[in-house]
Amino acid sequence: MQESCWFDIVWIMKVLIIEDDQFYAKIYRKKFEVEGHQVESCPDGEEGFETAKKFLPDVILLDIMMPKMDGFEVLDKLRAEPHTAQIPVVMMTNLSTEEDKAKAQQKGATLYIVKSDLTPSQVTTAIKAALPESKSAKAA
Amino acid sequence: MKLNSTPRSQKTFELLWKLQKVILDTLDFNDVVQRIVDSTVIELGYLKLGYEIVVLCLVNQRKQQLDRIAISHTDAAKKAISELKIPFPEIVIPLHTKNNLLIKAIETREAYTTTDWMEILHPAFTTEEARNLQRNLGIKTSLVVPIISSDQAIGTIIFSMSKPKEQISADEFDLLNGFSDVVSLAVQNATIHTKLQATSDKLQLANEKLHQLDSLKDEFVSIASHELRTPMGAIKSLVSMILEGDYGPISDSLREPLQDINVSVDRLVNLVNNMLNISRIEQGRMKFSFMDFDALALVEQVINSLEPLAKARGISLTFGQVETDSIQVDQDKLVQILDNLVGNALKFTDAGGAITVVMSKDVDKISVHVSDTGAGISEADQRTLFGKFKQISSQQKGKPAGSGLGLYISRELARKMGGDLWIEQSEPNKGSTFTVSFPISGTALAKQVKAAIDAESNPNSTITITQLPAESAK
Repeated sequence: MQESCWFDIVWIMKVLIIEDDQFYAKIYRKKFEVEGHQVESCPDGEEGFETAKKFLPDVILLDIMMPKMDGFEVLDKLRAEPHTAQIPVVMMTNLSTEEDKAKAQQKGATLYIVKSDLTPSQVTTAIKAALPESKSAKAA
Repeated sequence: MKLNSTPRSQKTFELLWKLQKVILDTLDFNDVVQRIVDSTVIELGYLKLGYEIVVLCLVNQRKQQLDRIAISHTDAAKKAISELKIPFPEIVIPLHTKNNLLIKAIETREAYTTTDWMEILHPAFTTEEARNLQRNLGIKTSLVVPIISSDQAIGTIIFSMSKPKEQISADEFDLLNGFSDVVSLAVQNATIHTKLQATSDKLQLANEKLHQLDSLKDEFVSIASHELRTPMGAIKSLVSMILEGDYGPISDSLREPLQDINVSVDRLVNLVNNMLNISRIEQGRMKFSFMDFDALALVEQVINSLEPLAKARGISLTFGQVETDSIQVDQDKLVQILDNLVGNALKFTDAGGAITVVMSKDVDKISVHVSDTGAGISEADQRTLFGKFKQISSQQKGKPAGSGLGLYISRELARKMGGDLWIEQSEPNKGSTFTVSFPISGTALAKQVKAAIDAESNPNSTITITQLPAESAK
């Protein structure tokens, strides 16, 4: 217990938020920054994918419903690109259908989150809990 | 000539029986009328007796005319059709026409013979056209028989033959007379059937429309809930972060209204989620993932989580007598149901009251009884309590209003899992006991429910945050 608390404090993640709703982008950026992480955000999938290749984040928060390129398309591109293929992706939505959840799982997303059901604190806690491998890699 | 007076021989009876079987074998109107005109020439072989063309006409009351309905599949008939100046179905005779033998047969309800087709084609054809056609086809005599139904002529049948009237035998007259009765019956049957068919088609269409509307409603609820969730989620996120101090320290005077906003938003989120739940339940899209749990452990977990709330309200929340066993449930759904039952008890019980949870074991079920010393529910309210959007009318002032969806959803969830939910007893001002039951693991009931759900779909439960398997991320 003691150890994991210590990791939480010192572990600085690079977080990429791909979200067209600027309210949510702002909210999550604030939450991650308050917790000391480094955040980039993009308002659409195309820009998000390009940024992911350069920024190489530790985790990507990816909205599903977006104009131009939706979250699933972005996820496919991220998985097909060698540099981003291994980055954990958290799918975020407010349209929680079983189909979307199954699709996210099948395409290799790490987490599937319904935004309105969780507070940002709960989201960051869930994300940190879901990334044990990268966490221990960083700490080592 | 009055055909009705002709006595019927045994042979005629047999032939009519044969015709009746052929004609009444089908109920489709078009089939029936075609069989009527074909059966005498084909089944009875009257073609050899010089019967060349058989035509069925029926009265069209709406248009006040006599319609040509069917014509036999004979060579002469085919030739006639090819020589007609207008299509066969367009040969119509107004009912008030004078000098037409068909109309006369209908008016007098008697049979006639003619050697002149002018008498059966006027006024659709000129005298010359009618006679030319008759001559080309070699028709010498036409016998016109009315079709009588309940003392009314509903049409006529025309037998046109290549022999003179004198050569029509008594047996033939006898049969053709009896045949008109068969035709009458067949036409009536087919008409009724066709009407029924049309009604059934209309119902089918209405049913399809309802189904479309239902799926539209589902789609609407889904989209509306998404649209509602987006701003709700933003408010909820912002308020929680303000309360956590992410935007700087907040004063004590602001803390309470912010917490109230938080509670209200949570209630709103719940309401929208409940609406979505109902839509899913009703569409059969609610997913269940069953596992075996110790009943007491699960119930204890819910009670413990609600303990602080009960304490804050000054209500005691304790266990009474407990019997437990392993139950087969979807954990999230069970928690949702018990949260709802205990939550309701907390909502309608005043400070100083008590909530007691008792568990009992039946043959294949574990029941959880939640009793409170609260407001209670009148008998009238008990009857409507499980309806959608139902709230008891005698709700106390100042008590927070719910959506009225909770009990409905809880009962549906309990039933889908093989259990049930009901009011054990309740009396105004004395309190209520609600009971929910769940199947014991491994029982026939549990197996049956699991098989039914597995058959329905893949066993994924609806939860808002899901840790996906690590291997799929690689």
